[in-house]
Amino acid sequence: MLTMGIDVGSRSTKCVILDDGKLLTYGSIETGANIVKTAQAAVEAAVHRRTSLWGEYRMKLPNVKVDHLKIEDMAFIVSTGYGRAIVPFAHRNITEITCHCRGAQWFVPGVATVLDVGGQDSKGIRIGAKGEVADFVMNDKCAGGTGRFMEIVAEALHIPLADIGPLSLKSKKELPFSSTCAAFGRGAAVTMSKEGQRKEDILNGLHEAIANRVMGLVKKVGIADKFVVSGGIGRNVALVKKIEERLDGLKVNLPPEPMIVGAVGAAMFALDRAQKGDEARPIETAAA
Amino acid sequence: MAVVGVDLGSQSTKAVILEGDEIVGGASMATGESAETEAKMAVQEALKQAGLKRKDLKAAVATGTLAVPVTAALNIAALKTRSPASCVARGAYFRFPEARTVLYVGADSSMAVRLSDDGLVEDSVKNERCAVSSGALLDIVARMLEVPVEELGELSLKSTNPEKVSSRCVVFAEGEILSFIHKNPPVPVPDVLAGANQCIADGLWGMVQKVGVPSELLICGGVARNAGIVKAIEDRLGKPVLLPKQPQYVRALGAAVFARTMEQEGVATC
Repeated sequence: MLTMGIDVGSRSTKCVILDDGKLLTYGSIETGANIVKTAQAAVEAAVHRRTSLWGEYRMKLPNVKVDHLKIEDMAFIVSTGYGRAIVPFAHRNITEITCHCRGAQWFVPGVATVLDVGGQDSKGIRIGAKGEVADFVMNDKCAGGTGRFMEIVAEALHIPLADIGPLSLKSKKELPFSSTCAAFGRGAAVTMSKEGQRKEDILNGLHEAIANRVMGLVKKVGIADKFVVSGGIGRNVALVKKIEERLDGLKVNLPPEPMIVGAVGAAMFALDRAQKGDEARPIETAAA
Repeated sequence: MAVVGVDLGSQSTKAVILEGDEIVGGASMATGESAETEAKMAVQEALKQAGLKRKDLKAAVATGTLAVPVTAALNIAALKTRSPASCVARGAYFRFPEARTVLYVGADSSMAVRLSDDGLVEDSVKNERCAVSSGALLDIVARMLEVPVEELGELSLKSTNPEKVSSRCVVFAEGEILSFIHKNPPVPVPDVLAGANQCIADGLWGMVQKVGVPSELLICGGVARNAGIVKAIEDRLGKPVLLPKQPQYVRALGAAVFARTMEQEGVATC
């Protein structure tokens, strides 16, 4: 039975198709101004196996033909993420907190804490013994502890976003990043660069600042084993390392594709619904 | 006896020359690559206005974010640095002794200062960590709408229905404002600007409330040239504020007042 999860994030939209709960295909696309078109394009990306944003696939996909699949072939579709209410073909929408909780368990059974840092928000989720959301905190008010901050600094230093993690690992210097505000991040990076600081040291300081910030957030829900990192920061090796250094001996469990955790969770909820025999009727979207 | 105050802001560098009680010269330069060069040039320009020479300057005080590294470059023997808060207080009190609260709003930092009856700093809060209560959003909006920064204030006053910006972060507000511009039909420019002003004023007002307004409130700093921001603060205060004619020079003026005191007390030796 095919089910789809679609996670419309502020910066990227992810689409996952599961076959009886097993990964069949996924894809991603940058979130555009038009959410409806973006959601449709994300489905296209999944059936044509494209991840326009991140380059190569990191998870092995079954060697079966999927490019003929259509939205109508899905038994049930669940949307999540900040644009979830506007996906016209979704049969239900569920908050990203709940979907990340579910998706993290799909990747890492027994997970107790999830730190998810996306393009424009960050959240900490504590998962209870029954796999339910026991507690969560969310920051979507300040760009300081989000991917946006990294994006701004990477741009200012003329380094592709994908390269800032590996480059930062080369740093041998502790250089505090002079701004905690993402709006000042560009200026701060440019100034430090002009002062002759090396790019890797500037990035190291940036990652230090963001790690402190997001750990401060997730500590509010309590850190317990197993600890999962999801969202775009999962692709930043330097930041994941800094987070692990702050876990008092615990390890970071990193899903191979950290950005699809929410979409996988949504697709799992879709499977529940389909198995219960819920009618697959499109939700009334805000756009309609 | 002439003295100079130099204010090294993040976006512009100001110099004010004081002769007795009279301001005889004032100049502002965009802060560029080297703050030292701009500081020298601003002093040079202010001297030209005053018809004075560098050797006529008997004392100097520098303040602002970049004050410390440039003091040597100014090459004025009797030069000291003073904190931005005390210079804001001095500068405001010099012309407006009735001011008891001063709100300073610069390009990327801001502060609220409460003064004693003698013009001394009683309490102050500053914001240099978050861009929301500073001029940063104005720069962004000006760029997005292709309106010169100097025209933002007047244009915003034409607003009949300010478009509310719900973000409390400049980075997110930028995205939100972008969506106003791309709406079909687009939100009228004055309404976008008025919305941005409300967003900034909310942040600033929080700081003002922390130090309190026992009597008169004075607004200064470069952002005080934006009539929309001033009005938004007045709306929250419920009465007019004190507004210097050239509010961007208040902090440099405060530095100059300190220099004058130094000179009078004979601390300056040159």
